[in-house]
Amino acid sequence: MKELVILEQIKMYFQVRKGLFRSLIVRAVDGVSLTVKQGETLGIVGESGSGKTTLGRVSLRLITPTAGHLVFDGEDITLADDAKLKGFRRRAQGIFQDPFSSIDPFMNVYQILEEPLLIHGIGDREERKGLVYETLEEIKLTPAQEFMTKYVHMLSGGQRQRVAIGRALILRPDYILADEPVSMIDASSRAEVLYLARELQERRGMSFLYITHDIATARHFSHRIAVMYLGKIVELAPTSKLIAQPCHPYTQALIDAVPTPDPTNRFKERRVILGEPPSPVQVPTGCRFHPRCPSFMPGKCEVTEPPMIEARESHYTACYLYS
Amino acid sequence: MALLNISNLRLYYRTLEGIVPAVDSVSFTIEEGEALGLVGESGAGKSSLALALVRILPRNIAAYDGLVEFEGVNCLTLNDEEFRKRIRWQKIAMVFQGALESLNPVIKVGHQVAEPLLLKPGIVRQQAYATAQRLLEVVLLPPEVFHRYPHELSGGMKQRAMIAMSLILSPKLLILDEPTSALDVMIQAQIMNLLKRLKRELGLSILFISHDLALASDICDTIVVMYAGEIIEKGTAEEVLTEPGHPYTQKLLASIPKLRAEAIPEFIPGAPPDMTHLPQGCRFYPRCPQALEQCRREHPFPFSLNLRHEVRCWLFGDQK
Amino acid sequence: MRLRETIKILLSSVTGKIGVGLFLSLVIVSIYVVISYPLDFGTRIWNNPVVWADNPKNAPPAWSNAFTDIKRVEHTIFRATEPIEVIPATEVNTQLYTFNLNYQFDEPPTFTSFTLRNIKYYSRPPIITLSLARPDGKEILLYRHVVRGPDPGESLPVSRYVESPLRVYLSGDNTVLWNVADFVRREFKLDVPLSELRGMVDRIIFGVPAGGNGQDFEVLRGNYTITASAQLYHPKDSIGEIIFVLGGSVYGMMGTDALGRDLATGLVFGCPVALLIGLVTAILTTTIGAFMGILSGYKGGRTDTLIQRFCDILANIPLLPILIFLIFIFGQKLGLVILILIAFGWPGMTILIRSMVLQYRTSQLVEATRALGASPWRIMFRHIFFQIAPFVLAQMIFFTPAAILAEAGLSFLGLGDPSIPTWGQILEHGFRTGAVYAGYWWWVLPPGLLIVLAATTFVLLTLGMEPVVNPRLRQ
Repeated sequence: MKELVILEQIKMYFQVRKGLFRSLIVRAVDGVSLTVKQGETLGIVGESGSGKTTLGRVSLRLITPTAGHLVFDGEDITLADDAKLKGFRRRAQGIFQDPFSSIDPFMNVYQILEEPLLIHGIGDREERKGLVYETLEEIKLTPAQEFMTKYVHMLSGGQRQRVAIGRALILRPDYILADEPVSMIDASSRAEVLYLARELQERRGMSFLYITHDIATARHFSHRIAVMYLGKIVELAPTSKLIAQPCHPYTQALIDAVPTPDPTNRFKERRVILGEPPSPVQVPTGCRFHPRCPSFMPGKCEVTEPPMIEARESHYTACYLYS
Repeated sequence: MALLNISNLRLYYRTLEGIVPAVDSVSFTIEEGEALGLVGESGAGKSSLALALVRILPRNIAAYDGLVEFEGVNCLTLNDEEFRKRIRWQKIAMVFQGALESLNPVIKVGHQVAEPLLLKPGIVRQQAYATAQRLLEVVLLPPEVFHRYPHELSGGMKQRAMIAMSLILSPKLLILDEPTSALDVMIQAQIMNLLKRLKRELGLSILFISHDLALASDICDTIVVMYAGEIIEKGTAEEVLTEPGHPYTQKLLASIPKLRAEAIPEFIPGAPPDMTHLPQGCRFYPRCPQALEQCRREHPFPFSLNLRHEVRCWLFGDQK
Repeated sequence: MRLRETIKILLSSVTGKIGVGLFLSLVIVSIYVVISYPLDFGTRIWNNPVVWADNPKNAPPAWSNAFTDIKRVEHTIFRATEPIEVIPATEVNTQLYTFNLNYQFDEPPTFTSFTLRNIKYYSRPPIITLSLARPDGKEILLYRHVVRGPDPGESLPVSRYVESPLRVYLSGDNTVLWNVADFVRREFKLDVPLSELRGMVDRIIFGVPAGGNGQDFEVLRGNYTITASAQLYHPKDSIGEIIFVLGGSVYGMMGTDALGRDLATGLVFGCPVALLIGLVTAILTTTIGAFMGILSGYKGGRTDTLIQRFCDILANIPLLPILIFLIFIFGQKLGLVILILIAFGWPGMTILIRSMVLQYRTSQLVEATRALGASPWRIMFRHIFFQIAPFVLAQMIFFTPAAILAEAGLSFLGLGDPSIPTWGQILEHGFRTGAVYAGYWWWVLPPGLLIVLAATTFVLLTLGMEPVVNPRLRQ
C-alpha cells in the first residue's frame, strides 16, 4: 500500500515566555516518525501532554514543524507556502474535538457543508447543492431538507460531529485527521460516529489519523496504533498485537487503566502507576518514562534514550526491556 | 434506616418552549457506606437530580417537591437558611462537573480547601488550616500543595483538591458529578482508586453520576439508570451489569468498547425525546429494539424482578 | 432571524422599551424637519436678521405667563394676504384687512409695527389707512400711507416693496404721534404736549387714563380690531401682504434669543443634525475601527505592529489644537468636525476589537476553517466578524451619544459650524451673550436638556441591547 502521509523526524518546539527575561522551550513533539498508508486508520494514543494533538496539526500543516519533514503523496510540503498548500488542503481535511466550537454558530448546516466547495471553487450553485444533499445522505442526517436549515445549537452532540465529518468529506479528501472526534460525545453515541467514519473509509479508501486518549475506541477503529508519551512514540504495532501483547510498560499501564463493567471491580483497586506525566518543559533524561516505570532498570533507563527497535514482527517499541 | 431516602422527587423547569420535567418522580435510597451510581445520557436529568439534592436551584422552577429524607429529616421542609447551615456541605457535599475550573485562581489552594470550615462559628483559623492540610494528605497530595495556586496544579491534582474540599466538614454523603470527565485515563484510574479507599476508610456514602456505565461500575454497589427524567432500571451492580432488564441498559452495556473482546461496540441510534413534548407511552419507545405495541400507548410502571431489582418496562409487565 | 430576535430582546426590558420609544420620537421629529424645513435653513433663515426683525429679543416663552403674576404681552404677528371685505365702487375699490385681538395682558405692548409687502398698481397709487377699534367703542386712525407714485422713467404697472417691504415703526412714528395726540384731546379731553406723548403711544392706544393728569394710563382689556383699509384705483391692483406686529415680551413655544430668533425652530432643527452627526460619526468610527481591529488581530506580525503604532500616534495627538488649526485653515465647517471626530475616534475601537480577535485566532473554529483551505480574508470577514458583530453593534450605539456630546462641546467652544444651528451652537451663543447671568433660562436649559436626552436615548438603547451581546442576560 502506498504511503500517503509521511512524518519524518518531526520536532515541534514552542517558546513560552516565563517572567520578564526567561523563556522556556516546550518540546511538544520531539522526534517522531510515522507513516499513514492509503486506506488505513492509524491510531495515536496518549495522554494530555503527549504531543499527539500537536502532531496531528503538523500533519495537516496547520503549524510548521521546527524540524523534520512532512511528505504528502510523494511531495515534501514542510515549507510550502499557502498558495502551494491549497492543493494539499483539498486532499487533506480535519475533524476536531469540540463540534460546537469548530463549527461557525452563525451558519446553518447547508452553509457549513457548502463552504469547502466555495473555498475551492468547485461547481456552480446547482452542482454544489447536489453535493451537499449527497453528503447529508452519507452522514445520515436525513431528511436532508429538514436538517439543511438547522443551526448547530439545535443539534445533538452526535449530530454536530456528523456535520463536522460531512464538512471534511465533501471535498473527497484522501486523508483525514480526526482529533479526539468523540471524546465530547456521550459514551452511548460514540460508536455511531466512529462507524460512520469507518464505513466511509471502506467505501472511499481514505486514510485516517485517529488521535485519542481512549485506547478502547482506538482498539476498534484503528488498523495500527502508535502510543505516544511526552513527545515521542514508545510503541507502534498492528492493533490486535498491541492490545494482546503490549511491549512497553506504558502501553500496559494504559490498558490496565481502562474501566470495565465488571461488578467485582469495586472490591479491588485498579492497577495503576502512580504520579503524573511530567511537563514537556522538563523532560526526564534517558527514557522519558523512567521516573514512573515499574520496570525501571537503574544505570540504563535514565542514562540514554532507548532507540526504537522491532521487538516482534512489525511490532516496534522503544524500551530497553527488548534490546 | 437509610441514610438518604428519596421518594417521588420532582424538579420541573420552566423554559421558553414549555415545562421540562427534568426529574420526574424519582425514588431510591442510599444506605450508609453505599455507593450508588446514577447513569444516563446527557440531558437525562442526572445533574438536575444532584442539584435538587443540594438545593442549588435556578430561578425558573416550575415544580420542586417530593420526599428527600436525610437521616430521618425531611430536607424539603427546611427553609433555605436551615438547609444551608445544617445539611449542605456538612451532611451532603458535592463535587461539581467541571470542578477543575471552579477553583479561585487568586487564592491559595490550602485556603480554599479550608474555607467551608472557616465559615463555621467557633473555628480558629489554625485549626481549619491544620484540618485542610490533613485532608490534602488523605487525598495523596504532597504537603506543599497547600501554598500553591490552582494554575500551578495539574488536572488530577486539582480534582483531588476539590475532593478534599468536599470532605472538610466530614459529610456523610458525597455527590460526584462526572468527576473524571476531563482527566486522562490513568489519572482517572488513580482518582477512582482514591474514592474507593475513602469509601472504605471513612465509611463515606457516594452518589456517583456519570454517562459512562463502565466507570460507574468501578465503584458502585447499586446502579440506577435514568432516561428522560425517569428511573428505568435500578438494582445491585451484579444484577444490572450481568443481567440487565431494560433494553436501554442492555444497549448502554453493549456500547462500551471492550479491549479484550473482538465484538465491536454498539450504539443507540436516534436521540432522547424532546422534554417539552414527551410521548404518551414509554419514553424510550422510538429507539427501543424490543418495543411492543403497548409501549407506544401506555407509560410503563416499575416492575420488581426481585427484592432490589426494578425495571420500568412492559417486557416485565407480568411481574408485580 | 437574528434581526427579529434582536428586536424582541430589545423590547423585552423596560430600559429597552424606553430607549426605543425615545429613539423613535427623535426620528419622527427629524423626519418632520427634513420634510418641512428648507435645506439652507441655517444661512437663509436662522442667520438672517431680517427674518427676526419683528421679534422681541430675549423673550421668554409664551407659556411662562402661567407662572408669573403679571400677564406679559404675547408677541403676536398678524398677517393677511387676502382682504376680509371688498367694497367696490365706481372709481375706487376698498379692500379691508382686519385683525382681531383679545387683549388680556397686564401691560401695554412693547411696540407696534406695520409692514406692507409687494404692492402693484396700474393707475393711481393706492392709499392704505390703518385704524384701531377699541373695546370701549373708541376708534383711532393711526396711520395713512400713500404709495409712492411712478418715478420718472417708470412705466405702469409699478411694483413697490418687493425686495424691501415697507416697515413702519408705529411706536416712534411722528404721524402716528400726531394722530394719537389728537385722539387723546378728542376722546379724553386731555391736552398733553407732544414731547410727553413720545414713548407713550402704545400705552395710550391700548389704555385708558388713570388719574386725571394724562400721565398714567391703565391697560384696557378687551377685544380690539385692527383694520387696514386699502383704496385701490384699478381692478388689477394687488397687495401682497399686510403685517401688523403687536410687540410683546413673551414669544412662542421656547422664547427668543438675543437676536429675536425663535428658539423653538432652532431647537427642532437641531434634532436631525444631532442624530446625523451622532450616527454618522459612530457608524464610520466603529466600522473603520472594527475593520482595522480584525486585520490587526488576525494577521499579526508586521501588519499588527504597523496598525498598533499608528493608533498609538493618533491617540497621542491632542484633538483640540489640531481641530483649531484645521479650522483656521479650512474654515468652520461641519464636515471638518465630523471628519476629525472619526479620524481620532477609530483607534479606540481597534484596540478593543483586536483583543477579541486575538482570542478567536486560536479557537477551534479558526483552526478548522484553515484546515478547509480558507484564505485569511474569508476567515476574518466570514467567520470572525460575525462572532464580534453584536459587540460592534452595541459599541456603535454606545458611541453615538459620545459623538453628539463631542460636537456639542466643540460648538460650545466656538469651533462649530455657525451656518448650521445645533444645540451646542445655541448653547454657545447663549453663554457668549451672557444669557446665563441674565437668567434667560429658556435659552440655556432646553438645548442642554435636549443634548442629555439624545445621549440618554442611546445609552438606554445600549443597555437594552446588552442581552443580545451577552446571551446569559436574556430572560
